[in-house]
Amino acid sequence: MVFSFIGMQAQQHVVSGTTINVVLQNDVSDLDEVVVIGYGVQKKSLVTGAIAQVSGEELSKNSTVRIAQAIQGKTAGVVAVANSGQPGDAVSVRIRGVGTNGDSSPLYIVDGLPLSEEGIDFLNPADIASLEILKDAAASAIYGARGANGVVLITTKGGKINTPMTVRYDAYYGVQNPWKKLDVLGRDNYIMLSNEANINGGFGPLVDPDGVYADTDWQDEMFFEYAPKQSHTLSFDGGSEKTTYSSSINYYQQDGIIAKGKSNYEKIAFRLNTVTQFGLLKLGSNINYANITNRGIDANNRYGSTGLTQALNAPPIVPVKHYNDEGIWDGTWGNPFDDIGVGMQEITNPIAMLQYNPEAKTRTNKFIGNFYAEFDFGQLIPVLNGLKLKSSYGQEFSLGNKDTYSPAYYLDGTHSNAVNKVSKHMQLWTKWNIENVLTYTKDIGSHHLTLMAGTTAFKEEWEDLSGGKSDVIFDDFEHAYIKNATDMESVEVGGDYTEHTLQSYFGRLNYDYKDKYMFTAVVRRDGSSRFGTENKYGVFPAVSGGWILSQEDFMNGLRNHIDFLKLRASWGQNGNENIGDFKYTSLIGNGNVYYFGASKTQYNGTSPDGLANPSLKWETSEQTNLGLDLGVLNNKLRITLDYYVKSTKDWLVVAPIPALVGNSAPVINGGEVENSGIEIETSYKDNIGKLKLNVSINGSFNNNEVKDIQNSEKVLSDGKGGHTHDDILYATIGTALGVFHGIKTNGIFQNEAEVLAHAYEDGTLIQPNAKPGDIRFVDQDGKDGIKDEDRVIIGDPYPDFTGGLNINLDYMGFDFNMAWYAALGQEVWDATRRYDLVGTNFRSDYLNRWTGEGTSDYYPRLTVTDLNGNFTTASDFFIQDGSFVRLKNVTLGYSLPKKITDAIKLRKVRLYVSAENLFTFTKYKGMDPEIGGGVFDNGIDQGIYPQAKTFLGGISVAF
Amino acid sequence: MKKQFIYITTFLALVFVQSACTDEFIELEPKVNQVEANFYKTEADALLSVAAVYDALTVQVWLHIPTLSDVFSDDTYTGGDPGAGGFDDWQQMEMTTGMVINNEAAFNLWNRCYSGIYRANLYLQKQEDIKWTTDGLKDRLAAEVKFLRAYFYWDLARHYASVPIILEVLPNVEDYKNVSQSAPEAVYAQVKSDLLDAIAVLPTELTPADAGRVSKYAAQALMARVHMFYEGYGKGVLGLSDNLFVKSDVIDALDEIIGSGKFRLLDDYADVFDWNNQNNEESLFEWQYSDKAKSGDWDGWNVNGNFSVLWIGPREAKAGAVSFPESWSFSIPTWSLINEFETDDPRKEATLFNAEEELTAYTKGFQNTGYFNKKYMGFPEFKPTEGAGEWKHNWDRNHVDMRLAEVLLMAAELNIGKDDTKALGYLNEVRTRAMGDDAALDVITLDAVFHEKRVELALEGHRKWDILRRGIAFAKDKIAESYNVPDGIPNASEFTAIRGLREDTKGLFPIPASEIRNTNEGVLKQYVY
Repeated sequence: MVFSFIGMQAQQHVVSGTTINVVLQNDVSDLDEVVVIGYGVQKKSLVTGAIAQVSGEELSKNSTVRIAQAIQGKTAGVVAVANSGQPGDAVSVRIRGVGTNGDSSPLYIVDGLPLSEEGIDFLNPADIASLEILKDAAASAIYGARGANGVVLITTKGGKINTPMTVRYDAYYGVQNPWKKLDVLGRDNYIMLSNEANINGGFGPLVDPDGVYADTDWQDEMFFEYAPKQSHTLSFDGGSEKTTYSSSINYYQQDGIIAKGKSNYEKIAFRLNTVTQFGLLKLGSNINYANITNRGIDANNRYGSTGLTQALNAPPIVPVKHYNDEGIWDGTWGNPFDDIGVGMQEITNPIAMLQYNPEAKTRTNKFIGNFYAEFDFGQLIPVLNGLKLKSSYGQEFSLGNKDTYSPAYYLDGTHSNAVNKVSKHMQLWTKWNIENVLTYTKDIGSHHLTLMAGTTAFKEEWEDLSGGKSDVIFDDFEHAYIKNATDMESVEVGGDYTEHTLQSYFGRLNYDYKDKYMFTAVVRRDGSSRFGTENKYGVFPAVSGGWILSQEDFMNGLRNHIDFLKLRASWGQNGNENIGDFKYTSLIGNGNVYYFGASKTQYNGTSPDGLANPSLKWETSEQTNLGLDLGVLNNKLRITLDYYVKSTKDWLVVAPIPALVGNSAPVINGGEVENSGIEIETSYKDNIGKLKLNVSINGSFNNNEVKDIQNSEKVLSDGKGGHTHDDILYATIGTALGVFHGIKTNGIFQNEAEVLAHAYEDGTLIQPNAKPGDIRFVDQDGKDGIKDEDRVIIGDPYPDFTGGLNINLDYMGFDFNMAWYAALGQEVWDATRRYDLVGTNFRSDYLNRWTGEGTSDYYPRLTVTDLNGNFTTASDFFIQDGSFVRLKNVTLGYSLPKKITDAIKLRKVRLYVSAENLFTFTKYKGMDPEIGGGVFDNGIDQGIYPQAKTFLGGISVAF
Repeated sequence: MKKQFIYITTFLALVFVQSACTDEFIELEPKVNQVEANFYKTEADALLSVAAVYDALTVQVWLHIPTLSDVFSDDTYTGGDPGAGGFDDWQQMEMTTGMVINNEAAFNLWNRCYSGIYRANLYLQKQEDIKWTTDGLKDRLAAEVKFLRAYFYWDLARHYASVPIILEVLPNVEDYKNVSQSAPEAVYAQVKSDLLDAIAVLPTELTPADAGRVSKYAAQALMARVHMFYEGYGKGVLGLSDNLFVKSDVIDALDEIIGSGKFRLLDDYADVFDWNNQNNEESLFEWQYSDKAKSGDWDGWNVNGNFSVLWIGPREAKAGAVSFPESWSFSIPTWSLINEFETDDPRKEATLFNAEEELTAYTKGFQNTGYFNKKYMGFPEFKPTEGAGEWKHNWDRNHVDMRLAEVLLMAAELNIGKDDTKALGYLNEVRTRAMGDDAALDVITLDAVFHEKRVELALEGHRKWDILRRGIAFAKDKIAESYNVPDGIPNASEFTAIRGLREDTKGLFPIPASEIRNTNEGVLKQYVY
């Protein structure tokens, strides 16, 4: 492929992957870099949409297995929040705010194959050449029905023609620790507070204050300190005149910082990219294979038996194990029921639960390949110069295999399992994608024209098979195979299947005049199997334009000050069809079991699973974007500004319907939300003597506002905080989509007079059950006491501002870089404490509880008979400031000087040390304020698995 | 060049293969389920659809009306976790502050009734599409479904009084948002109409394979229940004036059941609730629960064992070396019930499990009295097998909804003042079966029937409806009495504080707030709340 950019000498490159790696000379303005725009590339200076680019180099600085986490803080308008710190756990990525109550994750395209965030786990960040984020509708409209939440394009590395083979070895090894430990009560304070709560509730002390008890620090017991993490990559690439290649093998291993041996992740990944010129055809392929093994515990579940919620709630006075007089473990575990006489439902000995909870291991094998052929008509018939046809076929084949072994055990009355059991769950995902794209490029004088038209067909299928059987003849995970299980009566079997197809036609026109005026128009028509016959097809158009003012003569006077100035404007529509399959129809379920006959014959009673909505169609997102790109000080300082308004209509929602309908609500199109915001990216690059400096700052403000909800109440709510805190995430017209909704508190009743003063005009008490020391709630509607009607918005799980600061310095072989990330103006709902159970532990700040007039205006008195609902009321007592600023990464590296590498016959050697999450500044009292999730489970801390603080040392060697 | 040409032609051909994909490519039919449009064809389809209606009657979506009714009445307290209990939705039923309008139990009950009504309505519409081959099957299944629909409306009537009546599946979801709320009289009239339709067709003879299905006699017994509640509560408390059933018809119906010879009082009262003697000769209608489906569903909809067994037994209980299965100590028998039993009444021992005597250890839950519901609690020997499903959802224990003793006591009550000898005879049949011939009474009074009914049918979910029949003041007094706990018990404070019947709600549940929100404005209103 020949590139002939203005101001540059023509270069010829062979395309690898679906995209092109162009190495530009350093002395050429890097505004002429190329960006991937979906079914093609474009010179960065001519881009009219809002596209952010993160280089592979930038991504590989993070030692994360999730690519999405590596983009956190790297570009404005993209909020990436880890769902938890468990190795391999998913990341919630939101581009320009949440546009739907449903799935608002962007679409990922890896070397042309459409995938999801979970689906790209086979990638090694070091294999990525570049990552582009299509933020506005004009850029993402080319992906039509699936572009509404933005698109992330990932291009993996390819080789270069006429380049000798380079072999590289990259490795790092690190240790991870929790960055924080919560200060919870130890033995004496625990006894004091829990007895006080019992006595205040009208009971005797919970435990005998004179007894002899253990003093267990459950967090110390659960955390795995210095948990290892390592990665080794061996890669080679190069190219002859006609063929280029790039290949790698990567081994990645990470232990979690909680529950040694029960929370870890291991991956082996292979990749091979080749491109060959064969006559007039260019043939290319990208082949990936990955084998992933992981084990996990409950990462954020307050009812979970294996998560941190156990450590935070388990009484410290329960011992981990019981020892005999000689100090030898007698084989029994401590548990609240036997040791202190208090049964606490889910909460018991956390370490014993890690031991006994069903052990599961998931192995995933993925094959992902893409093959393409490109034909240049110009080489066949000169008159067709500029006309190319590219046809590609991509395939994913993934097999997931989950083995589970549940041991037989008895811990206490509520924690036991009489018979051991083995179960298996196998899932098979297949996916194929065919694309044909015709591109025509033509220059007529100063008019530059690129026309593109294409079709795609896509199909994905999922099938699963599961089985289980009890009474296993071996009592360990190693022998957890169904053949070893003996109880025929206990056999369980299940299986399911679904499929999804898409068929699309699309076209694009890119035009520019003298590199000064740009115009792009896109249209895509998609047909999806997910919609009923009435709405199979949708059409998604977009237009955008750009004007490089700095090329105009009238700007000549400012040329000394302004090197580059471009204005951009775009408008477009795209869609979202992520709702699951066959939602437009009504399936007959057979789970309504009943028994007839003396021997109780089972009838699998049938009724429709839900109501049908044949007129279901996709969500439409419409976005307008205005942007400005500025380069000053000889382009050392770059500024990009974007303003956008993105409105998502026709969400696919299960709108609340009255239960008197008698069946589950259908999925309907109903609701509209608008995201508007400002994004700023600035970067400064300079060479000061031998120091190379590159500093970039980005930030974005997003405002999310619901415009309509298609139900009579105009409300959507869901999400569970603590026990009885239901529907705490809420949306109505004028609010953001999913804000915290609860009762406002107004301090603590200090005395009886204050309780009596909290009354209506007629003297009726607002909180008749309150006693001094209880929380004073704000009665919003002035009647009927404190009820759900008195709820107001009390917080927002989404940050008002997110931003990043990245500093890169190079000096005499040393390189230093630092990446900060900030998420400000968000709140967290702290649901870590099981106040609904008597005897659970407290965080140490509860020592500040109210114990008499003037002792606290925030922490209520402690009582197990909580008639005032201090803890059972969903109130802002549970809301905390979740803003944080985090030093995500700081790295110091040193590359050996050339004379040394030459002497040892190596091309390059770089050594580095790095720290991740070294500092986190936050007022949040819990483990970690970074808690991702969907609209209705976002920002709720139920004992979150925190991010690790990691120290790494690494080496890169090129041979 | 020629070679090139072949390559290109092949390549382009491939391109066009894909382009030639038609609409069929995106027209997929589900492969793992039938769709509504092509189901309802065979008698087998019909039988399964009707089973789904029965399932809605018996499903325990975190509620089981008999347990809920006992908690509401003076027979049991909410109970629950040590400390504060933990089941607010139930505790509100026994608080003078009443239930909140978004009480989840009130919602679940409403939801379960209308789910059943939907399944019944859908069946009654779809039965016309079935290819019928067996004589009489269509009529019989329709009658069963009408009985069940009557039961759902009866549950709605007695819990909410005034509700929308829906008798067909409406074409559009939006249509439901406008269905007007019917007055209580109309709801009861609907119950009556379906019941009479069912009684006219339902069989008197059930084969062993029919166990669990409804017979004519079960429908007649339900008619008597509805009649007595309507006369006492509907007229007395709600002030309804329309007449419903004719009393003499009801008496005739009860006599028909008693005289049918199909049912008998078992010799030993304790045998009635023997786990090995389910669907016995005393039963008219049992809700069928079993472990066969290996259920496991904490949402409750797919629990096909008797879920309530898990709720009502002692917590973390041990009798010597024997551990009792997990249970949660809800619905704790009140002192008032414990004291209602006469000395030497063997029914006390068959009804109440004395944990202090029979267990060596257990966790005393909220409002502990030391007694538990022995008729339905789970004993170690009947614990469902662990392994497949969730054993806690697989208690193989039917709920005895209607049995001859209730029929006899209803007949006794209805005959008071009309034929006292007959009334006394029926009462003594029940009484002497348990306590021996010497215990026979000489004089029949309403209070005597009430006493007998309370001890005979204790913890079977009838008491609430009986005390409400005698007026709110009566019910309120009885419930208040149940909070007079013995002096000196350690947990006295758990029975005080705002506990008692909230009079102005007339013993009804609130119409779920979400129903009012999700229907069109002004269509639904709270009836008493």
